[in-house]
Amino acid sequence: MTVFHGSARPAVGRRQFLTWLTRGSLMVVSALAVGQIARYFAFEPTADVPTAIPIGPPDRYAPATLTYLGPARAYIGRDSAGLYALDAVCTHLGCLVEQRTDGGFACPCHDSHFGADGQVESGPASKALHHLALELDQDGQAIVDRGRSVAPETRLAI
Amino acid sequence: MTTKRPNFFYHLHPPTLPARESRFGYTFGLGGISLLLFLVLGVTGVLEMFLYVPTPAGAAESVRQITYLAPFGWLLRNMHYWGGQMMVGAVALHMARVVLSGGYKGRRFNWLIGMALLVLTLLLDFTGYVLRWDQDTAIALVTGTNLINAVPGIGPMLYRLVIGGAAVGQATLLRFYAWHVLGLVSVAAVLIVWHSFRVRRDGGISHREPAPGPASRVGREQLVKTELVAALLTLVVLVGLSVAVDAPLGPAADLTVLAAELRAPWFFLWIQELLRSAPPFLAGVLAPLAVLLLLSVLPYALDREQAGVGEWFNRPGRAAQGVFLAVLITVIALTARGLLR
Repeated sequence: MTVFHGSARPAVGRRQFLTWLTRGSLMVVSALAVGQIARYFAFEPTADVPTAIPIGPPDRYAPATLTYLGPARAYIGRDSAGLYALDAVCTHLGCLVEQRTDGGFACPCHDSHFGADGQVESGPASKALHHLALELDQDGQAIVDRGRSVAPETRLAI
Repeated sequence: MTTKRPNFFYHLHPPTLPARESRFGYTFGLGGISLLLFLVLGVTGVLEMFLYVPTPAGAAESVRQITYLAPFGWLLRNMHYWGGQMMVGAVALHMARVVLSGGYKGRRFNWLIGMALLVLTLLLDFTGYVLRWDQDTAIALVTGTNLINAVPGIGPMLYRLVIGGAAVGQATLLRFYAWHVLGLVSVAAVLIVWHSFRVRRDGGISHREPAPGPASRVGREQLVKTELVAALLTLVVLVGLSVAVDAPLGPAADLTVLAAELRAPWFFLWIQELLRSAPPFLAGVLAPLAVLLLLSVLPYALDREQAGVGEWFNRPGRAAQGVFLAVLITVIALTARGLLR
């Protein structure tokens, strides 16, 4: 046990120590509470929206056409090699791009321009429009998978 | 004989005030007008809550019921809409008055509370805008929240925290509703009380150092009368606007429909303009934060003088006034460019 003589005082007195202890424990408890509230916020009550969207039989889409499909939020195109799905969601901030008369695409929100193949022509977008995966189910229906991007030259043969 | 005790409204004020700074021509009553609009928004907002349905399927329909079917619902909704727009204006003008007349001098902490209240006012306006759930507001919601994704590192995590899932939907609308009607309002209410308390604690309304000799002061009855007139005028303008001009209401939100022209709400148009020419993180996150930071440090970095308090365009505050006006003019110019597009 340390004994203090005369006017000598410990650098940290008992009151000071208890004050620190009180404040410290309040801070720790608050930090824990804030952490748990953040976890509460991170809880997601509803299931994620399905990413696979059926778009009907592939031969519904005539050769050399491009059709906008609302439920898939994608342009479904068909060329000599087959069917492809170009995501209409702008890679900048998520507005839906519109087809220009020359076949390219323009975003109405911040004026990004894309070529017919989805490549960026002018900013602010820096990434090309995604090409979405297309596949056939057992009944011969085409399915767009919004959760999976593919290379731009990928086609679903018809 | 018993003396009449001051009523609640008198009690909120000191018994006497400096004559010059109590005049309407000094404060324009802008702080009080902001508070009045906040209270009007609270009353009309609670009434709207009785009919509003915060679900993607029911929101647009319930807004139409309030607007077209409920007795005086149109007036209620218009007053809530115009009250929100006027509050953004009143808060901005209040801030301009405080900067240009040196009102921040010697009370820097209250300036920071005011900055927080400015941010809360904008967040309340944006969350309320989203609740309308029509085509315009849905797109604003998608692009506004996508900006969070642009934050390096924590962006995607923060994004899911704000919208409550992988994509904008039911959870997003409910979260924005909860923030709008109670979450943000509670914080704002506490800060408004604190802001007002700090004015009293810092020695009342900011004022010039009185000249030697008896100071010219007025009783609080006079100020309360001025405030009453300002409140009545504000309500006349609010009700007049609400009767004359309907709040916008577009077709119900459908996130799968292509839209021709899309415009951010007017108080964020300047950010939309920046987003057209710069990367999202820079234009949509860093630039607004930089503006807020710059305004916050005005009394710390640009003008630490006590001299010039209560003087319009006082000399020691010239740097702070210049920076403030430069920011204001830039924001107004960008907004005008967005409006004219």
